[in-house]
Amino acid sequence: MKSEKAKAQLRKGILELCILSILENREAYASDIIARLKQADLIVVEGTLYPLLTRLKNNGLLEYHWQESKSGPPRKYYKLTEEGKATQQALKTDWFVLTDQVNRIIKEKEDIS
Amino acid sequence: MKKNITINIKGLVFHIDEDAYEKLNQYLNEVKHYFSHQDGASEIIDDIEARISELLAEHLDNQKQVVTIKDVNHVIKIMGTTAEMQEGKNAEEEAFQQKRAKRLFRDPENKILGGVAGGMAAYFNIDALWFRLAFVLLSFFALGPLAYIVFWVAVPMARTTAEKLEMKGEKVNIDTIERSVKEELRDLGQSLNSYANMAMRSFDKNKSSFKKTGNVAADGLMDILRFALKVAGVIAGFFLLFTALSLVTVIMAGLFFPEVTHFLIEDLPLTFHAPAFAEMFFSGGLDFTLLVLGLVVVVGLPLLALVTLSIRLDIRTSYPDRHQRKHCLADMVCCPLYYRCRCAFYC
Repeated sequence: MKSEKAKAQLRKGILELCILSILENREAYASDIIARLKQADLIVVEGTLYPLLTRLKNNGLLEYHWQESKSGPPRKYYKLTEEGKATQQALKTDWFVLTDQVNRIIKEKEDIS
Repeated sequence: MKKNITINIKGLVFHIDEDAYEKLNQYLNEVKHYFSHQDGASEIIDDIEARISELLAEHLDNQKQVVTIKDVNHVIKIMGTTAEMQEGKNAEEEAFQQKRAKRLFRDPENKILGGVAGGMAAYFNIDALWFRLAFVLLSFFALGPLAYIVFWVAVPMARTTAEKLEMKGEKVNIDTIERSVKEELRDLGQSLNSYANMAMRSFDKNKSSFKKTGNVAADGLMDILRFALKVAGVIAGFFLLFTALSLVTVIMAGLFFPEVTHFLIEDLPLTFHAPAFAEMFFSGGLDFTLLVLGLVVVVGLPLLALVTLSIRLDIRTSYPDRHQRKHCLADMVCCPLYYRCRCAFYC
């Protein structure tokens, strides 16, 4: 149980970077983003993504435009703003440094034992 | 065969089964409430509704034109319940939610009229009795009913489990909701058990009546007492209604036509007549509309409250089934005898 919570916490933190990265070089509709995140086991229910997208948009990292759809109401297609691109780059660099350091810590322990 | 409802979600029209509609409506209300404290709430809800509409549309084709409860359950599973959304929240948002204070609701489980006192009791964590007492006392100054009505209109009823928790100031998350639902189920189970016991006892009564003579006698006594109380309630309701209505009529009439009160009570020392009263206060006899207005507020409103209270009491006992209540007004007006008979029948 404890480890489940810790795992969930870990995923939550990197969700923003994942969304920004999915949108790095393309536009996507909320369901595309969800499908990719579900595939990676990063979110469980779709309801959690919409508030996150709205927050990122309100913070000026994302923007969207409407596109007609055959099967339903018009869809919002999201893409990164200039600020979003910069944030994504910064987070990405950070992520690589972080994972590198974390890996080292984990490996050191293994080497000793 | 099932009754269908036509709904429109973000511009798409759906035919939906009644039970599925109830479920979807409840879900959307929960979601709306859940996001209501967040920035951009309406946008989030719009997005979610659009997605739901799209998911539902995927389930339908020419062969299958109606949204069923199965479809709705499927959609909720994909979108996630509010409790599941809570789990997916990040720390920043969670901290925001923890700050959320208690909110004043009307309590549907602790109500006599509209649940205002019950809601206040939950908010201030004081027994509802004190608030009821206060409202009754205030009604002597006409402020009570007025204040009560204002609260009734302005304060929302706590409908969902989340709202009920918020009413008591408990943090709304999956654990507290689970606990509260469990408590409700336990209460339900207990009352079902006691019904079962009652049924068993009456069965025993028939089978071996001599065995539990004492118990049965006590039961019978309770039944008679309950019956007597109900009869007394109906009679009291009727007389309250009658008294209140006649008092209102007499006072209203007396205000403007002093002959009426004089006719009823011959040696009334003071003329209960608005202009005469005004004469006493404003010797010039100038502005007495103010006084009349004051009298109406002081005397009329509490009486009006009494009338509505007694009517509600009456209707509740005579029409226990909610769906029949819409006929009761017609019955009351067209056939008072039939209406009275129902009262007698149902108690």
